Parts: sequence; structure tokens; C-alpha cells
Amino acid sequence: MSDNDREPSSPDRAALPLAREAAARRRRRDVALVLPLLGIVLLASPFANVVAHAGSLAGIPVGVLYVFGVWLGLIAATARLAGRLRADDGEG
Amino acid sequence: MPSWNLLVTASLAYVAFLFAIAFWAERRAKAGRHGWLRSPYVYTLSLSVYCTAWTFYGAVGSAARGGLEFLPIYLGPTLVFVAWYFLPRKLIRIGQTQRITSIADLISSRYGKSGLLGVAVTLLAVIGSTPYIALQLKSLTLSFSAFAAEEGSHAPAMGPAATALWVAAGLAAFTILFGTRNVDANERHHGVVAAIAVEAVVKLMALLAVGGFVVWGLFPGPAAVFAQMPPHIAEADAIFTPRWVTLTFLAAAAIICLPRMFQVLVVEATDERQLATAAWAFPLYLALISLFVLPIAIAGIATQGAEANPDLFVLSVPLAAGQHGLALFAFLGGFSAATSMVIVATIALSTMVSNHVIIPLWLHWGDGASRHGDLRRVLLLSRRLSIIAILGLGYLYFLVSAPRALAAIGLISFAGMAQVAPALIGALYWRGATRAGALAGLAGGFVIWAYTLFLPSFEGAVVMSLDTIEHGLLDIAALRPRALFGLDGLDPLVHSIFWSMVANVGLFVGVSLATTPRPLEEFQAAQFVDVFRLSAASPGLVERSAAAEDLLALANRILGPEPAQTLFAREARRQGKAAGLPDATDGFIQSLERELAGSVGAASAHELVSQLAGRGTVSVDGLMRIADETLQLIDAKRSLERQSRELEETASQLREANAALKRMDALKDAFLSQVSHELRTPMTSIRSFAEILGDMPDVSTENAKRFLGIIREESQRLTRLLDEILDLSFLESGRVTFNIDRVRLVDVIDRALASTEGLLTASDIAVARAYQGSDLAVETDFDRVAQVVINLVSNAVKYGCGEVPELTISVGESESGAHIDVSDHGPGIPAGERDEIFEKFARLGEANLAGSAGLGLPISREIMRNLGGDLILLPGGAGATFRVILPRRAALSGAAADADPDRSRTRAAS
Repeated sequence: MSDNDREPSSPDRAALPLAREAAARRRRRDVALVLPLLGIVLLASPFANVVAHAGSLAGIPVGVLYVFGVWLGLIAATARLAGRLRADDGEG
Repeated sequence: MPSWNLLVTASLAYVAFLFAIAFWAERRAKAGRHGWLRSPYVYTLSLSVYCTAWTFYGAVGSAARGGLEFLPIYLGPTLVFVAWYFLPRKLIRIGQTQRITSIADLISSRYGKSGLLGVAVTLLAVIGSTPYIALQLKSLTLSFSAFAAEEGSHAPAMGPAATALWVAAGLAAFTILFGTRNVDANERHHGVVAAIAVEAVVKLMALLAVGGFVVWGLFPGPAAVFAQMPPHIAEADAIFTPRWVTLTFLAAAAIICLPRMFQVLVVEATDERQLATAAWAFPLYLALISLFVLPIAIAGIATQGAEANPDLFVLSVPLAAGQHGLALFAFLGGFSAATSMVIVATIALSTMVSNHVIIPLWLHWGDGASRHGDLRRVLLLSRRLSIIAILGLGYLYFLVSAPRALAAIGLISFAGMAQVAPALIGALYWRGATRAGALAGLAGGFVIWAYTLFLPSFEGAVVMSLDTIEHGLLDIAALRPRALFGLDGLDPLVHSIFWSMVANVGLFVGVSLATTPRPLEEFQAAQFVDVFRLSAASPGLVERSAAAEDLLALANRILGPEPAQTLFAREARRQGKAAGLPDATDGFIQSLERELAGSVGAASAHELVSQLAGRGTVSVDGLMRIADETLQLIDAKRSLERQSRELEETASQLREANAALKRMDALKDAFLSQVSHELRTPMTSIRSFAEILGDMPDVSTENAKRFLGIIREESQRLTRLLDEILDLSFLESGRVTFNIDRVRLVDVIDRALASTEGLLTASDIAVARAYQGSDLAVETDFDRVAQVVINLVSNAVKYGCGEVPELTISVGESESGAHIDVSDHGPGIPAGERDEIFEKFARLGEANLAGSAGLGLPISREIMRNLGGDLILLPGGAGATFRVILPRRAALSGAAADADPDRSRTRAAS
């Protein structure tokens, strides 16, 4: 791919596709670190108490929906990220 | 109603099926057709040994008692797997590069291949896992008895103790058969992995089937189930409690510390890519398996009442609904959960016991020291005996343990193994962690765990009496096991975890900081902590020597003749030998030791190799080179940055020099053109007057006289100009000879003023002499200094006299010599031109200085510099002040030239 294919909005970066790729990798790695921390905040901190008494939705307690919802969200985010991180490691 | 016989038949058939699967997988692996055995999904399913009978039965029980409280047990591992890139991946990488065989091996290897630490972790693991194995036996007998109770008149042929004994014996047989087939260097058990993967599917399907039946069969939908929620679940105060956090932490620690989890997660892993899939697939498995736990618990309470055992709801709910097929399926699911855990746990523990306890003892006292015999037979035998012993222990615990809820027993086990977590995390991320620190932390945590949780769990039956539990050791209230140091009112588990972790982490960190690691510890620390940065092979650290024959004999005993042959032949080829044994280089000894560690553990392998090769010394050079490879990398990066900075500096210096050269070049061109111009003007006038005289004979004598006068004047000017240029060139090349004498400054000034008197009078300028009575004297060239002062005075007359027609001359003295200042009251010299005025022909385009060509100031400065002094323009003040600096003793040309690099550069360029 030639540099001309890059969008012209960031000319200095477009000139350095490798640098851009490295930055994207670093960001993926940062997200991989943030994700478990986010999980701890959402699932193992007083944060969870906010929804403990929120009643129920379609007959199911909101507390249950919350925990399973966050859980599945973490799984989806991890799955999305894992493939890319694996590809990063495969190349490097 | 499934009869007792049907139940037993189904179990046996299922077991036979598992044997067949394991056998078939073993065959495939042996034939090299790994195929789906290496699939990341099989790996993920094998991780589900985390979900034991405790999950299968106990989670529902826990949910029936405490609502969502069962969830942290699954959320902890989920969080660890979400962080897979940082923790589990590192564990697997280390496990593969260091040929780690168990959690005890990892800890022992990291802390300097310490045998003692290996034994400590092994002991902790055995003590911690025994209740867990007992728990599986208990859940199995409970599930059998659930069917028996339903059957009523047809009482089971066996009591629970006998059932448990048969189950334990069956499990021992399976484990020995598939878990100790060989001492495969990789410690991977394909048959076992295949069997537990199948069991993982069965238990998940069974729980989903029961859950689906409850929600949509027994009730019209989820909303109807939750409508039946008993008040103690519905009205729970808060989701987040100290217990919730403690449970999350324990489960997170358990997923990496439990021997069976370490076995499937690290030891059985074939490559890191499997983990990338398991990172999301395993949490998904956990989410699915816990999806219906709460509905089943609610349904159980709603249909069976509060008296029924909630730990058996998974079975009793479908049984009570008459769904016998489903109940049988659920029973097989529970059976799968229990057996897979026991099998993997026993394999992991037996590896640890044989590698860290039996082999070292045998090496020490048995005929291991005699260097004969096939070590593999000893290894296999010791593992088989360990399996039987561990299951026996579990059975014993099952017999003596108090009838407690399943979850409580599981948590005691988790809390015990969690004591390894600080040492494990330190092993991966902290290079400063030492063996002594790890030992102290483990011991402290273990003692508090045993005192506050494990021993009280027997409720007075073992070691600790009821009285001690109630009132503390020796009746000291501060030592009450459930309120240590008066910390009362906490949940017993939270209480125990708090104190044991405080002691564990405190001792681990404190002792690590206070002790110095041995060289081998430091080396291993670097290998572990920087595993992603170090190159794979780092040979030659430990300097040892051994006969290659002895090494081959040792490899034969442990790896077997064929693999040993392959290994040695490969090394010989690598060393460039066509035939024969390879040289026993330090690197080869080290890689052989690592290879052996895959079978007997790092500590034992180190011991065995050391018997042949000696302890060896860790070379300081090697340590510096390898253990600090990371630092070197950082250094290299820094030096790169420094170099690029230096390059930038050099480049900017070059740019400056280039600009200076260009400027000088321009000056030189200007000088040449000025010289030609200056020479041309008098020449033109001389030529034209000469032509007039020659061509016109009728010129009057008067005119002819005048013309001749002009010609003579112009010739003199030409000569003067040439003299000046010559003078400057002589001065710049330092070839002038000076006439040094003792000179009074006042005399010099007097002479200069006398010479310029005409000029001064013509311009009507007064001279203020600020040196009356001074008799300062220096050694210098009188005429030359006078020439400089004359030049300055004439300059001042020409440019420096504005409204006040006066100039001031003063003299002064300094440490190094004297100076003469000539000041005027003119417009002064702009800051930008302060340097330029000393350049040749600087005042181009303006009137010449006293008939010269603008060379006065450059010549004056050259003169003073040649005399060891200088001519400078003093900053500030109104008008311009030039200072002639005179050293006490004239330091003549050569020395002056060398002492002033600035000047020699100027000279070189001109």
C-alpha cells in the first residue's frame, strides 16, 4: 500500500504507516490491561450495589441482569481483542 | 424411578465410555495425529475441571442460601482470563521455556531451584486439596443416596463409606492407567485431556437441560421463576460485601494456584494461541454453567420447602417432577464433574509429590545416588503410589470431616492454595523476590490459614479442640481462631483470608527486601520476569564440567534410551560433529538440565546434574551479561537516543560552520572587489593626468605642476593602501617583528595626539585627558601601539562626534596589565554591528578612514593581538568606547596566536 492511500487528514502519520501500526498495537495492549480493571470496578466494587435494589425488569431482578450483562460484555470485548492481540504476536 | 442397579449400570457404562475415549486419544497422540486434541476448544473444555461437583451441586446450594453469592466463584476466574495477555500468557510462556511440571515446580524453579520450597508448596497443595477430593467423594455418595432415598424400600446395598471407597478405587485405577502411562517430558496426558473434555460437555449439557426444564417445563418462564424468589434472596442488602470481594479474590487466585488448574492451564497447554481462544471461551463456559443456578435454587425452595438439602436440588427437582431420564442425565453430569476434578488433581499432586518429595529422598538415601538403574521406573512407581496415597487421604478426610455444606469445604481448600498466590505473583513480576521471602510468606500464611480456618473446620475432631475454637489457644482471647487479635464480627472466611494474606504478603515482601538472593535465584528471576524479552537460549551461565558419557547415562535413566540418543545426536550435529558424543559445554549441560526438569522437576534435575558436573560457579560475567539483558536493552535504547541527539548537535554545528564559511567567503569576495576598486581609483586618476601631460604639449607649467602633484599624491595613496594590505597580511600570519621596550602609556597617547593634532584642530574637537599624572608603563612596541591609538582617535573624529565635539582618553590598570580607553559622544555602534566593525572593509560604502580603505580597526586589532593584548568595543554607555588592552609583558606573536584559537581560525580562513 502506498502512502497516497492514507487519508490526508494526518499527513505526518500517513507518512509513517509502521509508526501508526505500532501505536495501534500499543493501544490494543493498553485496552487489554484496562479491560480486567474495568471488570474489577464493575463486578467487585460497591459499584454493583447501585443496581442491587433497582427492582426487576421483565420479572428478572436487575441485579442478576446487571452481573450477567457485564459478564457477557467482558467476554465479547475479550474475544474481539484476543484475535487481534494474537495476530500481533504472530507477526512479531 | 431409576433403580439402584440402573444407576450403577449407567455409571459403569459411562466410565467405560470415558476409558474408551481416553484410550483412543492416547493412541491417536502416539501416532502423531493430534488433530482436534490440540484444538483450542478442547483446551478450553479441559479448563472446565475448575467446575467440579461443587459447582454442579454446591453452587445451587449456595444460591439457595445466599442468592447471588455463588457468582464470585466464577467472576474471579473470568477476570483472570480477561487479563489473559498479562498473567496466564506469561505463566504458559514460562511453563514452556522452563519445562515446568507443576505449581510447586514453578515456585521452586523461580526461587533458585529450591528443593525446600518445592516440598513446602507440595505439602500445602496436598493438605489443601485433600478436603476438595473428599468433597467430590461426598457429593458422589450424596447423589447416590438421593436416588436411594427416592427408592424407599429398596435400600441401597452399600452405605456411603463403601460407595466412596469404590469410587475412590475406580478413580485411582483410571488415573494410574492414563495419568502415568509414561514420564513424557512434556507431562502432557492426551487421554486424560480428551476424557475431561468430554466430561466438560456432559456436565454443561446436564446443567443446561435441568435449568431449561425448570424454567420452561416446571414454570412458564424466567419471570415466573423469579416471582417465587424467597425473601432472603430477594431482599439481600447488597451485592457487594466484604465476602463478595474475598470470594472473587479467592477464585481468581484458585484459577492459577490450584494444582489441577495449573496442570490443565500451564502444563497441558501446547501453545499460547490456545489461550487466546480460551480467554473468552472459558469465561463463556462459566457464564453458561451458572446461568440456571439461581432458577434451579428458587425452584427447589419453592417445590421442596426449606428442609430439603439444597445441595441436591439439581437431582431432586427433576426426580420430584418424575423426570427420571433427566435426573439420570443430571446424575451423570455431577459424576463427570466430580471424577474429572479428582483425576486431574491427583495427577497434578502425584507429580508434585514424586518430583519434590520422593525423588529427592530417593536420591539422598536410596540407590539413586549410585548412578545406576532406570530412574523412570522409580518415577512411575512413585507417582502411582502417590496417586493411591492422595486418594486414600481424601477418603480418610471424607470419613472424619464434619457434615458441612459443600461450598464451605471448597472454600477452605481455595483459601489454602491461595497462600501460594503472593509467591507466584512475585515470581512473575518482581525480580527482587527471594527464596527466603517466599518461604517465610508461605509458612506464615499457611500457619494462619490452618489455625483460623482449616483446623476449626473439623469442629473439634482433629488436633484443635472445641474449647480452643471457642476460647482461643491456652484460653487467650486474642488467639481465638475465629476472632484473631479481637477482630470480631467478620465472616470466618473473610477473617481468615484477611489475616493470612496480611501475614503472607507482609513476610514475603519484608523478608525479600531484607535478604540477598543467591546468584542462581537472580538468574532464574531474570528468566521468569523478563521471559518475553530474553532470547530463548542463554547458555554458559554456570560453569560446570562433566564427562559426556556420564551425562548420556543420566539422560538414559530419566528420559529413556531413545529420546536421550536423539537429544545427544542433535547436540553433536549442532556442534558440528559428524559422529560420537557432543562436548559437554556449559550451554549443553544447562539445556540438558532443563530437559530433565520436564520429567523430574527443576530442583531434582539440578540435583542430579550437579552430582555429575559439580555445583559449578555462577560466573559474574555471565550473570552480568544474561541476567541483566533487559538492562542492556534499555541501555541500548538510551544510547541510540543519545547518539541521535549527538548527531543532531553535530549537524547543527556543521550548519553553523557552513554559514560562517559562507560569510567569510562573501567577505573575501567583498575584500577583493574593494581592493581592486581602491587601487583602481588612484590608478585611473594617475593614468588620466599622465595622458593629459603626454598628449597635450600646450599645458601650462602651472597646470603641469598641479597635475604632477596629483599624480604624486595618488601614488602615495596607492602605496599606503598596498602597505596596509601587506601589513594586515603580515599581522595575520604572525610574521611581523616588534620592537619591544618599556613604554609609558602617557607617552604613547601624547605621540598619538601630536600626530592627529591637525585633524583635531580642523574638526574643532576637544580632547579630555583623563590620565593626568599617571605613569603606568608596560613592555610593548611603542610605535605600533601609537598607531592603534592614532587610528582610534581618527575614527572618533570621523564618526564619533555628534553634538558634543569632545573625546575622552583614559588609562587604567588591571591585574593582567593596563588599558587605554578612547570614548566619543557619537551615535555609538548598533549591537548587531559590534563584531562586524572589526571585519575588513566593514564600513563599505562609507567614507574611508583617514585615507585608508577601512582596514584601520582590523589592523589595530591584529596588532594588539600580536602583542598579547586585544582591542575591544566596550558595551553600553553613550557613544562608543574602544579599549586597548595591553599585557604587562608583551607575549609575542607565536604564543599569542596559539593561545587564541579563534584568531587562528580567522587567519586560516583569510
